[in-house]
Amino acid sequence: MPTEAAESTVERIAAPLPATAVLCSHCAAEMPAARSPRADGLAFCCSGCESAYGIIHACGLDEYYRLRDELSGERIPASQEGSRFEEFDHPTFQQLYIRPVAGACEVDFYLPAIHCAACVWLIERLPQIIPGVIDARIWMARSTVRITWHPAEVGLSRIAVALDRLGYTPHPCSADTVNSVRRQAARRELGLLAIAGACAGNNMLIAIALYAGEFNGMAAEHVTLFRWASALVGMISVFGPGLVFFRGALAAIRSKMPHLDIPLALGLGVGAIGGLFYTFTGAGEVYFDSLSVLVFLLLLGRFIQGRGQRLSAERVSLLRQLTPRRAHRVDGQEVATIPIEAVREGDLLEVHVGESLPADGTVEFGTSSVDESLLTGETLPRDVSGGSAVTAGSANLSGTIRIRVTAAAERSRVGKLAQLVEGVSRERTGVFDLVHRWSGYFVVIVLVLAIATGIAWSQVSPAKAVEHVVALLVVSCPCALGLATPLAVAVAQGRAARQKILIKGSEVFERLSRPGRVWLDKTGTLTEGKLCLHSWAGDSSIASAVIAIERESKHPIARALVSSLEGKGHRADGWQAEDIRHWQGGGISGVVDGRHVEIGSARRLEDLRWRWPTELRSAVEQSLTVGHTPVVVGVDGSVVAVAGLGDQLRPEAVDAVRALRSMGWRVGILSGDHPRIVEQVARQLAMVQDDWLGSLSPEEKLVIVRAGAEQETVVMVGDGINDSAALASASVGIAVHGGAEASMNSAMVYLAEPGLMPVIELMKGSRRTLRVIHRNLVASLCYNILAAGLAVAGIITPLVAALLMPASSLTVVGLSTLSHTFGRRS
Amino acid sequence: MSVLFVSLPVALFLAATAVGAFLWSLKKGQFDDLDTPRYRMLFDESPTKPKSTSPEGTSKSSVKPRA
Repeated sequence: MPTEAAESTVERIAAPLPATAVLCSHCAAEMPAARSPRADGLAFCCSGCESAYGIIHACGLDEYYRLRDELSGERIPASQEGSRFEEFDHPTFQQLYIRPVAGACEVDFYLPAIHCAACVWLIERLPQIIPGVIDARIWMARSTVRITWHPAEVGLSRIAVALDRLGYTPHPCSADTVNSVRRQAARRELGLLAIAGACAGNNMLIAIALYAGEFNGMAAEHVTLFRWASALVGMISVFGPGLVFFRGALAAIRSKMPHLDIPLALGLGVGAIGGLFYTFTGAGEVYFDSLSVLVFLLLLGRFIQGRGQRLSAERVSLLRQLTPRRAHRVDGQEVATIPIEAVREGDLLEVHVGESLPADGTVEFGTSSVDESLLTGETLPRDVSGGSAVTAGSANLSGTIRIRVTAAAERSRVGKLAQLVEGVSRERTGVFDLVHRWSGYFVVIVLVLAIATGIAWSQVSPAKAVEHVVALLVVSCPCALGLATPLAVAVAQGRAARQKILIKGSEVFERLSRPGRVWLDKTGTLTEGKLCLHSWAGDSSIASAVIAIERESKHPIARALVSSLEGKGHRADGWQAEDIRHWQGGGISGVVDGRHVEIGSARRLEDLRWRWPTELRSAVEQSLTVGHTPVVVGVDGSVVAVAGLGDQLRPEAVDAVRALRSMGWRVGILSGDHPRIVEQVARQLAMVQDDWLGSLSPEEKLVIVRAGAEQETVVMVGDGINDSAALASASVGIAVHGGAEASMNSAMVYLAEPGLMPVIELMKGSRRTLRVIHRNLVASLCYNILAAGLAVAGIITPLVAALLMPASSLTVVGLSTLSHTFGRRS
Repeated sequence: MSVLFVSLPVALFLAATAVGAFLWSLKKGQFDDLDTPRYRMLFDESPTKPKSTSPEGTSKSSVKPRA
């Protein structure tokens, strides 16, 4: 059976494509020209995919390919990281992340690559792939896997290597207290909802018996029995699950803030005490069924509201995402690999090319250039040498360096930024202000009405006065108000999610309905976020040699040059660059085909004093004026070509900015990049001088956004780590597609589709949603006025109350679900 | 109709038992992950599986007829 499956894999991949294209048997990516299919007909785009296929095939798990093609179009290429994960076996790591369970060990890994059922299938078969693994359970919503294994039979590093080879790079996630507290809270909420639901259902059945008895006659002792049963069930729901409303009301009174819980607690409390009194005395009306249903519907509303927020919360912390998992510590002559948690201030660490820096420090040995774009948004790397300060999270691009740690973990700059983001996120209240504002008036009106009713009826018929006041307070309990808004918000969130706009907070709609200021990040938001070749002046036959040299470098300019030139059809197959040298100050040189080739910044080539034709000099000037970075190519003593590289504006950016302006928003740019480059983009978007700012640190972005948010609605749209603090502190933070996960977590809205057009859709949808909410509030208010009027007139009975309540709830449910908010009008 | 004095408490007791069972399963973590099981039930039992791992085996076979 395994061989059959393998053959069908090959057939499937080969069939629908033209004969020339060969696809990788593992990830179905197109084969690079340098690799040819193997003798057995299988083809692999890289050695990572080959070993992933090897693992899957050897364990008889070829079913994975079939499932994957059936269930999802996406493919996961194998990881090429090739890490050995030795730090997972380090005692510090074990202590932090591993829990012992009954003769075995347990660990939770966060696997961002999990996205479909085939992933679940494959990873849960880990016990078949690695002997010694007992169980692997995936939790899709959190993208985590819980692995149980025998530490005596297999090391955790081997398990991690296998996961990595399959394309699921594991990130340890500690079972930290915040997450487990949150999970406990979610369970409790669901438990209370279950109790409230059971009480409501049973109490309605009891009430039906009582109403039937009222019409058809019923023995007095049975009436008493049912009233007592109804009281018992009603008490359970009011003082069990319903207790949250009393607590909320108490807290609101203490902080002197209007809150929906105050009128709710009032109605519930008076209804319960009055009802209990009438049950004891055997006279008067009881409303316990209404109270039970009320508690259930209100809790349901809150549960719906909380659902979106719960899902998004559990992720790996920002600090963990930015810093590498391991560091190489230099102890005398030895270099030991240790987990990041074991790094201390004063350690001497070695950082290789391509790795990111594990801690803040100063360079003691070696020269290199570091890419700090993740943290600062600056697109071009910075050169460092002995004595330079470097920050954790930046990538080391060109040479091995040794750094002396000055600040590790939480004390590093990234750590502080992470704390800032988490702090700001916690400050957010997440209440829906509108409803609470309304409920303030509500309490006053109901109380005035209740007193008036009591006084009026005590003149007419004192025996009935208390009964009518109780009835008034019960029926005017703002049930629809408590259900209307969460439901309208939940429906809008669901529709928005279908448009690939994920909204976490319910307050988003209200805030976006009044236009104010929109700040846009530049790199990755307004622009494509990657460098590409815009102009090439001079000899194009040198392009192949450029590729041959630049593919040896990890510098972003080098990578952009290689991919752009290859995209233009240039190939350097069979060319081998020799004597590659990286130069301080932005340059690389090498010997290709016997020719000495220099590639670098204008300054570097200037220093060489090579012959420089005038038209190529003006090409440098030209690309500088349009905001591009010129890269100069020289061969054997003379400059032959100038390439202009730049980040391109997204095609829809101009339209999106125009649309935002026409809706009344003031649009501006906050960028960490060089002001000259920002200015170019701002000019293309017709922005005035005050509307754009460059060279901003993440902390400065935060200050600007927070100061603005105190006066008006400030929307921040961004994608990077450097935006995450600003995203968290804005009135509404919007993280755009393709950004860092940290920004996704700190923003209230995440756009799962590329481009800026979803922002426009979000603004429009929010206005429509707020209109629906207003309509709901008016509808529920009408119901309350009607019910209160009937109660004041003394014509309300438990039966009328029991009919009015669901009728009003159904009205708002209908209004919420049928109204048009996001997406096309149905 | 005096049977009501027995049957009503019995009915309420049954309802309480059901709620209790739900709360118990909630506490055991049965409702923590509501997404993955719907994928897991789609998979057929692998015929080449060398040894059946205990907890998975039982849960899948009970779901299989629905798939």
